[in-house]
Amino acid sequence: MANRRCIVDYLAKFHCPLYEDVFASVHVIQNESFIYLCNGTEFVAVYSKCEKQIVVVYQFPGKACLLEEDSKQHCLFVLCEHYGLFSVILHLKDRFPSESQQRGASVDTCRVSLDACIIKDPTIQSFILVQNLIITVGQKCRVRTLSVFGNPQLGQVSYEKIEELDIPILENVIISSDDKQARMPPYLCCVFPHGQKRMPSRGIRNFSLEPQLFTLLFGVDATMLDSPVILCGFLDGQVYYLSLRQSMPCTDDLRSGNSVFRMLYHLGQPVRFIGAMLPNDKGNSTLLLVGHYGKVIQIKTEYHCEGSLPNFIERNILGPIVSVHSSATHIYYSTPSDLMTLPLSNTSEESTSSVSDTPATENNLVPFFQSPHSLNVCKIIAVSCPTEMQTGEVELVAFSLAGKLMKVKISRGPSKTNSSRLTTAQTGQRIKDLLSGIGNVSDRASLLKSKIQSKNDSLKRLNWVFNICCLLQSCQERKEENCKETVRCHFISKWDHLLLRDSLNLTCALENSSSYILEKGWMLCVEVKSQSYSMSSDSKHFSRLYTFPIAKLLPAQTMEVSVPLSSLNDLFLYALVHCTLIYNFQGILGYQENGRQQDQNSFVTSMTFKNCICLPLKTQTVDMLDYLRLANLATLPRELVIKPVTDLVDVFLNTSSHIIHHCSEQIPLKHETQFSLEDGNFVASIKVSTELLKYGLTSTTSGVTLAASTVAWLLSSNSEADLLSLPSDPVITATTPTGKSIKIHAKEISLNDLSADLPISAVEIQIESSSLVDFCSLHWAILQRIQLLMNLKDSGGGTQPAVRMQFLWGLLHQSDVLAKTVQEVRDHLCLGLKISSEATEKLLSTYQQLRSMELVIL
Amino acid sequence: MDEGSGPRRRSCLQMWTEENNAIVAKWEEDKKNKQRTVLSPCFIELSKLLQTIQGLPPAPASIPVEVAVFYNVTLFSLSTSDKMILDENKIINVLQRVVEASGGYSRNSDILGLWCSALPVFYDNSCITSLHQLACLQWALWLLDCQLEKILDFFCVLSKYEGWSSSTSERSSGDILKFMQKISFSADASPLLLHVMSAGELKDQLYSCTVLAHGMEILAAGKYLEAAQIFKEATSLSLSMKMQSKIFTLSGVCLQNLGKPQTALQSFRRALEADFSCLYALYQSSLVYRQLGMADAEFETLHLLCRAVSVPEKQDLLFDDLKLIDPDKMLRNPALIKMFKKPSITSVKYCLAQRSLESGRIDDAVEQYLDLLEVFQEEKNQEVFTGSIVSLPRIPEIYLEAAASLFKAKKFWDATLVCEEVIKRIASIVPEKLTIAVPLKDSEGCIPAKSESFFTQLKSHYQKEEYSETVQEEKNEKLNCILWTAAAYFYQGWAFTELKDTKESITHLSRCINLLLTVHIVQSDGDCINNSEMGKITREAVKLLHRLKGLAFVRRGISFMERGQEKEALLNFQLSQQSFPESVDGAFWLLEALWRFGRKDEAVSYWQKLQESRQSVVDINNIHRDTVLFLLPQQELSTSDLETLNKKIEEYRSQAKP
Repeated sequence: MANRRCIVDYLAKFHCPLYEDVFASVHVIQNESFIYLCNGTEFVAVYSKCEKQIVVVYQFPGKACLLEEDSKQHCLFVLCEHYGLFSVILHLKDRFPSESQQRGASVDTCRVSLDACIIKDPTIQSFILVQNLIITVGQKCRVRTLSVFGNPQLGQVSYEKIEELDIPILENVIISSDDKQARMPPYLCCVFPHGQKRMPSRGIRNFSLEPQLFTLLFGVDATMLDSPVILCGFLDGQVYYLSLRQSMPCTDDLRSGNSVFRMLYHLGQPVRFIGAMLPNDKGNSTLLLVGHYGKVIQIKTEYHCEGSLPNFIERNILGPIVSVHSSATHIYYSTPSDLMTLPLSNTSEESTSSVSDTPATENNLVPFFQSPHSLNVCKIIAVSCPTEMQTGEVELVAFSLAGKLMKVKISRGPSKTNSSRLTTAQTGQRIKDLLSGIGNVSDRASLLKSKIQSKNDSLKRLNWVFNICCLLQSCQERKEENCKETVRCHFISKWDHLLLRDSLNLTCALENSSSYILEKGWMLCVEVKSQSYSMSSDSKHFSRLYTFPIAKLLPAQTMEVSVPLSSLNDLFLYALVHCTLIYNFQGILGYQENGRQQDQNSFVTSMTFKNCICLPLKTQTVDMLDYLRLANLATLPRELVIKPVTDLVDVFLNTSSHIIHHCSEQIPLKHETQFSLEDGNFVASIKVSTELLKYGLTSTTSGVTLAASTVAWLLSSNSEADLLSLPSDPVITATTPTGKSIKIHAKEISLNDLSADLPISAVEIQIESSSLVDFCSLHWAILQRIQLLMNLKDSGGGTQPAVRMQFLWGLLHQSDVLAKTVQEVRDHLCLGLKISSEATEKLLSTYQQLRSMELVIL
Repeated sequence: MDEGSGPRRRSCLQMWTEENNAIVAKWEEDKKNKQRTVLSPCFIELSKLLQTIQGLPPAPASIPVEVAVFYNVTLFSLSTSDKMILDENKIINVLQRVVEASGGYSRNSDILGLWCSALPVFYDNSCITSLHQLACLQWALWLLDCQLEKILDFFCVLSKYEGWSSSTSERSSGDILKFMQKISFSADASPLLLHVMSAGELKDQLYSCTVLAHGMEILAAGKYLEAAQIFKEATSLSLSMKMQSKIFTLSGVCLQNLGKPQTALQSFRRALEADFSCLYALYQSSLVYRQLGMADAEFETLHLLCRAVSVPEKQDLLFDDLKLIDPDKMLRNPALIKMFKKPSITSVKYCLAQRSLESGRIDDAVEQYLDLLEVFQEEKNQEVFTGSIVSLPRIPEIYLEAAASLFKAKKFWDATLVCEEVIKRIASIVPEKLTIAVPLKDSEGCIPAKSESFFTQLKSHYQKEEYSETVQEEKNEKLNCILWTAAAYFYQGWAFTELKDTKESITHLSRCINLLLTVHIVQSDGDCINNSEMGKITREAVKLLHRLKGLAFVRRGISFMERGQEKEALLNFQLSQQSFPESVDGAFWLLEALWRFGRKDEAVSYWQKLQESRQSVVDINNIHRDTVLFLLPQQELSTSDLETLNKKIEEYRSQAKP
């Protein structure tokens, strides 16, 4: 028996829906010429064996989950979820002659209407055809009902209910709430005592049993009435039987129990199959029960001096069993991994008949323990009833999880002929087997190989990441300038004129001067935090985060990215730009494809960098000096320049929120202040000592005045600076983004009265603007630069010139006066009074005075 | 459904109303044309409409439309499905939406609690019609689930809202039923919204079903008088013929149990007048006739029943199908269903045959039994019967009864053939030997206890075995098989005696006796068997075994006597007396044999002993009457025979004394 071989023919390919318990509603049945299949969808397909193609596909209103054929009436009965039982008349025989000519013609599709529903009962879970009856089992809540339907006149389609019986449910058994199991329908079959002349021809789940076994199991009455017995195997493992003809003697309540159902066996696991095996001239001599988890029960007659008894022989095979059918001597079953066959041979009978005193089970188990053989067909979710060919081959139809309908031909038994006598066909088969075996092994090997490869890759990537981390860490500890080999980034802010719009962009260049590759999984993250001009105290802080995945950045390569800084309608005082390198560890494992795509598209505001390393690269401030427009814009149409850039969506969003939330108080305030903001002429001067400046002006070209180089220094980060013929001119006129012109004027002065010993040479930077807003931000920006110089100087440790205290006193006094004015206004405000235009003007002038103080920054 | 979107909502409601009305009107139209096929599409369309409505948040103004559509959909679904199924969750959903519409929120998982929070909403928004519709559906649901208690609870709550005053604070079920009858559900139904069936109409049907189910519960509890009153009141309701006949039948049953057979008969007659397919009434009247001793009437009724069962039931399609809700289907009470189920042809035929045999109408009995056996073996017969109100005994017993009736009709050959069938069918499972334990308590009829050592030996043997009820049941079944087969052999043997083939007769009787002797009877004191029902059955079976053994010995003795084997004959008669001392037959034949073989002194002394225990003989005769039918006391032994024997012995004694 060892080499049971099988030949698999693929017949058709179907769609097979992938839900967890699909096998509960996939069924294949076959007769001599047709195969019927329901594949867990609302379609039922009919495959013709002669034409070797699908002939008809029926579409039902709901999911078809069980089918049976009535070959006598050429009817197909299909159980449909949520609807009930449908009956479809097959017109297959009629189409035979004509069809042979047009092979390959298109498949008929029939939509089955609700009218074909012969039993409308959504609770039905399973059914069986017995003689001219239909027996259904349904469950609603905790009530299981078996109904018997009959058609009073043969040939009529209508069925009417004859009986309705409640099937007992053991109190302690929990009807599984686990959905996966709950959908597994109860298994129904019908047993006849053998010898009945009218053999059951309807349905495949009808079979006969030896009269003796039948009597032992189902009672004398059933035998004497030739009563069909319905066996129901349930999810909870109970197998009940119901004799269709029985008497319930009132006097004998105890013997019959309260129910017409009696329990045959409790399998302890969901019942998958009930069938009969080992036929002889008296009928099948074994009743077979198979459970979902592999328990197999064979019920046979055991001879005993105190009368024969049914003997329940138990064995276990490796489950879970997805689908199972039995032939006369073998069980064919599919587990999730393989199609198996288990021989249950007749030999056990000889030993049982000789049993006298020894416990029967011991004797029976020996021949029974034949191990199952694999047929090497995997992922079969439904097998049909096997048919035995005259040649001794067994043929069964199977349906795989991949949706393939296949015919499995199993050659019978051991090939007793030795290898030298192998026919060519057999040799060919053997070679095919071997080749397919080799194929399997190489498949597995390549799979393992690719796994190892991917692990190595991951390790390599991890190593790189680690190196880069170390490098950046060490560079930050030392001074940045000191390390040459590192990953750096530079910012340049630029005006772009695109689609008639001017927008300020920040270009960030990532320069990989290290010797490592930045690979997939690295991201450049630019965060822009901007401080906008807003008069109110809760001014908006924009914070935006942009991430850019790095595809591959080789050593000495540079990657440039641009992020929008601002458009004209949301200008800011200054912006802080943080640049970070981020590594996502999922990159190592190599399955980030989908997630990355999303990150790329949206700029992530709520992004949480889980499983990530963040390496800060650089932080820089972008201010007015960086984006002043130095180019002569007079040539441009004025409206283009001034016209605020409006993104429609932005406008929509902003207006709605502004209008509702940002109170009505703000708008009048704006109006009130604006009149003086736009049209004044604001002048400020900042005096910086030459000595201090020299820290900044490291590269002073000869022949250029200090004043001019100061201006050049101030605008050094401006992208448009090199367009102009700087630094010959100490005066520069620029245009602010709002279109206002602004003037920066630097001149060398010498301050005599400040120092006691020597006159201090200094540069006075004067700014003039008509717009207060621009004026403020420019002033702020210049101060910012000078502050940087101060920091440099502090670290450089220059000498302080002696300063005349008197002069300082004077300045202090002056500022005291200003402070008082501010104080007044503030007090006024504190009293809750409205700011008068007078007060505003006072404040403004104070502001101006402050800006044009005689203070020198040393 | 915002408060603010006034104009739009109105149009929405209008739209829904119009759609609902259109569908209902379409259905009504087709109903007039007697087309039932249109029901399913109507149902689907309405379901879609309901989905649309329920897709929006609930609002007070939309309650009437939503409930009306839900009501229509549910009634359609009840009528389209073969098995009437109502989903409680759907009702809960609608109720929750009603509560939400008023701004409340109910998490109440208990449906009655939910109703309590929903009721004020209905009253506040003056949607009484909606309330009634929904209440009807809830009522139907509970009725289908046989939850009468919940219905009563619900109406108790409703009655408080309706301001229905009751004298007592604790309302009895009768009070609530009265309220249920009185409350009108058809009040101010809006003519703008069409319904497939008015709530008032549905309520009447539900009410009558509830009354019937309630009455049945009381009847089952044995309170016949109370039940009879309920049914009497129910007859005044306007009911369908079927329901009327049911109520008459049930009240007949009550009257029968109250000891008023004549009134009961009248009630059964009215039930049959209302609906002849109510066969239970027919069967019950036959029982009443039997009780009254009116054999002719009884047989006439049984014949009528037999004919009625054989005719396939014809459904009045036009009448039945077009009704949306069949109140008959609303009754799910198992007792009621069982009661009004059509009895199987087989069981009715058996009933007739058995009554014929019992009352000595042998020719009728033979005819009926043969008919019955033919039904059993007929291939075309595919009748399904799983117990009805008319019950069948075990099938081999029917065969044996048939054999007995044939025997009485002097058709001995036929009797042997019937017996052969029994033997053939059972042979495979008859055990070679059987040890059966009989409880000690009732030890009469058992073999006297044997020696102590043997008894203890067996006892220890049985203690090893796990002695459960099922084992006992299996043993009983095996004992039954032995008894049936033995009885069949017995009849065969006896038939051969009658056919004057004494050799065959002795062979068969020996088989019978040998089979009976394979049973070893031990006495057990196991309590579990002693007190159980099973023990009683075993005892009865063992009694029967002894009786059969006695009879078989007698018959074999007679056969031996006819062959002139006196010794064997005498031995058999003695064995018969030993195994079944109460047998009159055995005693007679023993005396007769002794007499014939000239052992007159022994005969006299035995006769005297017998005279002393005559009292017990009388008792035994009474027992004979209610033992199994297939071993009817044999009529062969006429009183004249006994008298002549008595005379002979008296004469001999008087001669001997002087």
